[in-house]
Amino acid sequence: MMVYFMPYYKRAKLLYAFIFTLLIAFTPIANAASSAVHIKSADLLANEDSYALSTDFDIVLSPVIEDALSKGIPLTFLIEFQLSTPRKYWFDDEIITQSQYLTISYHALSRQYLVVRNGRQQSFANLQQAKEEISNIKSWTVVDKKLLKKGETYIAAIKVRLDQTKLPKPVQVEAIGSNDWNIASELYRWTPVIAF
Amino acid sequence: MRYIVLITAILGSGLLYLLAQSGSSVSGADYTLLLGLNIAFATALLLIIAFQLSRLFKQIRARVIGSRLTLRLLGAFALMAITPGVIVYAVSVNFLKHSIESWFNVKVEAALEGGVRLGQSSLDSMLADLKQKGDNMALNLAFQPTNSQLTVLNDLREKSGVQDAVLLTMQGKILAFSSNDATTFLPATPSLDQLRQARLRDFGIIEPIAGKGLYLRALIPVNMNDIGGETRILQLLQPVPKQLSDTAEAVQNVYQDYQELSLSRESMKQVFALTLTLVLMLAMLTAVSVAFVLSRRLSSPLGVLADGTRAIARGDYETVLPVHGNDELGVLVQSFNSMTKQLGDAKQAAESNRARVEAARGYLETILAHLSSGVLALNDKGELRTYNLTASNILGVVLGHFSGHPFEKVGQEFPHLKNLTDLILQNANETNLNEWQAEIEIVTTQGQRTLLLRGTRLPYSADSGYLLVFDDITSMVQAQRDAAWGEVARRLAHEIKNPLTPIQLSAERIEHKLSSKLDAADSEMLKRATETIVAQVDAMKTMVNEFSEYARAPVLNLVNLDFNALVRDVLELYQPVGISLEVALTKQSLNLLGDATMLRQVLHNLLQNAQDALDGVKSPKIEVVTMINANQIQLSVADNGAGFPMEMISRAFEPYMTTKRHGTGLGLAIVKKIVEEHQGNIAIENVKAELAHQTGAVVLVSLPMNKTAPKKRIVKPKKVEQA
Repeated sequence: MMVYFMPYYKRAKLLYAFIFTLLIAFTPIANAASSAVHIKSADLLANEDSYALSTDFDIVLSPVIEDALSKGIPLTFLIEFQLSTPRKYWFDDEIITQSQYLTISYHALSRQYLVVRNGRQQSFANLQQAKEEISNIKSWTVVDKKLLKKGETYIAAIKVRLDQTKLPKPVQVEAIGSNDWNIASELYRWTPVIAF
Repeated sequence: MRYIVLITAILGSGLLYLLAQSGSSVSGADYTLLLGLNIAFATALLLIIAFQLSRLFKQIRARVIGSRLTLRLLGAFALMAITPGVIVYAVSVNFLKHSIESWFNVKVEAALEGGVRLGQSSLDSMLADLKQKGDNMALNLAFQPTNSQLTVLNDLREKSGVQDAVLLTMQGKILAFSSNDATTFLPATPSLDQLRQARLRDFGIIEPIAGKGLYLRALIPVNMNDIGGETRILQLLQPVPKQLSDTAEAVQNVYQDYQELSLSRESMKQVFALTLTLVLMLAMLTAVSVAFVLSRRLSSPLGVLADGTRAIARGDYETVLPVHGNDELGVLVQSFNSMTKQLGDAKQAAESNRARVEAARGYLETILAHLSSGVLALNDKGELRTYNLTASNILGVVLGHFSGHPFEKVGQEFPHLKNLTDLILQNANETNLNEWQAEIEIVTTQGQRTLLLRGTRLPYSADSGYLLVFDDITSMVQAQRDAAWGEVARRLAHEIKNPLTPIQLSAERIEHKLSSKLDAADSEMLKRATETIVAQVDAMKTMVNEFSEYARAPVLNLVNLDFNALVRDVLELYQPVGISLEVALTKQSLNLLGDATMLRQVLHNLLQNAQDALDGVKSPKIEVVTMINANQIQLSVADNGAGFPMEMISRAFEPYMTTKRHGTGLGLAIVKKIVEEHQGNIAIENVKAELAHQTGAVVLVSLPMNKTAPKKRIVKPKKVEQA
């Protein structure tokens, strides 16, 4: 090795430089126009023997993602809901966790945006309609009344994010460490009013 | 270390395999994990190598044998492993980038897009065709009464060859439904939005229906001509021919795949480059680790050899180095071992040889030391090389001070030995190899000594030089002289004694016969003359008796006696006038086997001599001392007279040696004879008390003690006298 002929400290320097370069090369550069999901509202509404979640959120897609979508790459969003009982000195006691996938994709032949929810496909002429469709969830039955006790305080939380594992393989590679593809809402927590 | 490297190599190759596979099949999260694992692994390897390197450099600084070779081998191995690796890496990264780039060219993209567009336009034309059919049907339907709509719709549908035809209200309520497909009970209804759009004009849509494939949906407003004038919507649903839809879908899928790849091409390049880099790093680090192990293995016999060398340097020939293998280094170690063994044997042989030589030399030295002759050896430069103790004693010089110095220095420092050294050196310088012999007299503190010298040149060799052997023959000469004198005295006494009695008798007879015949005056003269003759003959008789006494054969009457008592006895009788007598007798009993009469005579003679020496000396003094010295009874009689003349001192015991005006000169000769008959020694020394300005002579007599004699049987001197 060439390094052999250099003094020891020089070699060390070279090594550090190499590692540093590696780190720099694979550090994602923050994109200014980034995608985001913002949960506007969420609530639990009582049905006969269960509670249903209604939520409304905004999905903002960056030009990169919109472009990718328009080229046929499907985006799958994962909506996760969790109901728990707060505990003072320990992790909250989880009552139930539910999740739902929403896939939005572009069908080039028909020039339609397709939304798949629970295996049901809908088509929309433009992206705005499709986004509206997926960002509005009504009466998603999430928790059985039997699981809840009277007088107990519960905390509900909801999170929406792009599921990167559902992306096509090459895009997954692209998505590694990329801000564009890291689309997730903040955790939305609220205390639902439980009425029996 | 070896095992660590082995384990890391196996681990690394596993990780590398996974990483190489990951480019196509593993998901992003797994890929990230693999990447992290690989980086962690590379870091671990780096740490190991750094640790090894630092250890190696420490060893080099500490000058551990083999460490430099290890570094060199390591460098060579690493170079061998890394150079091709780097080249392959550079080429493959470059190749990869170019080939990835080559996938995405404008033509392919344009062709794919064109394909998609082709599909779109053919679908569009089919949709337009469907819409046209719909328009015709709508026109027909518009003039039909409501009750016959279903049959008309069915006819129209059959005629136009459409699969589904539905007549709907604006609210989406189904008025009539006709289908080619018997299995369909309910038609797929359009959405409200679509209905709203269809109210104004024709609306066509290509719709992928899940599980059924592509469908063409045309919504056409039907303006009924009846009273209500209400607008109806005719929906025609026609599946795209399967072949066309499949082909179009295939094109679309390829286009989509292409777009996916195109989208991620930069990151793919990065990922492949990163994978390659990691592969390179892992391979190289592993290579370096392996190189470490190899170079350590190669250089370890050197360390062993170095240890062996150090052991030999310490003089340890017992160490046997462990043999590593049967390669050249192993052979080297083996030959080193055999060399060590030979060295050890040689050293042992040299050691035993040296010991033998040492023993021989010691033996020779012992012989030399116990030799009664003095031995001197000079080297070729005339320097004193070897001497023995006897030589020092005879010469009265500590020869050790001159060892290695020129021999003539002895003569320079001690002038009385000058003629001796001159004689020796003169003979030594001569080149003849013959022996020579000479007698020389030197004057020492013990008086004049006669030395017999024999010298010879040593044969020419490394130890050549000159050897000199000499003996103090003073006593031998003395003995010869004594024996001669004794013989002379005996014969003379005999010869003289014979005529003395006739002379005496004749003189007495002359007086007796003639005194009466002579007158008074003559008779008186005759009487005086005869008296003189008789007196002189008596004197002569005494003298002759003394001679014969001296010359007589030793007949001793030996008894046990106390020497102190004997001395006291004699001193009692001996009270000289005007001389102070100092007596110091030891309190120990001095038992002696001797002849009391003889010993009395010894004491008497010594005291008489001392007294004679004190004639005309101021404050004369005689000291008589007895003591025990080295199991010998020692008697010293000292005076403070003039002492003996130096030339006399060695011959003081010879008969007729006297400084006195009267006396026979036999006194000391007799003393010596008696002392020697008692196995004793006698010596005379001049006192050299220069500080006190004193002179004088000391006569030292040593006599052997009789230890075996019991005290009770000691015979008192007086009784001996009486006996």
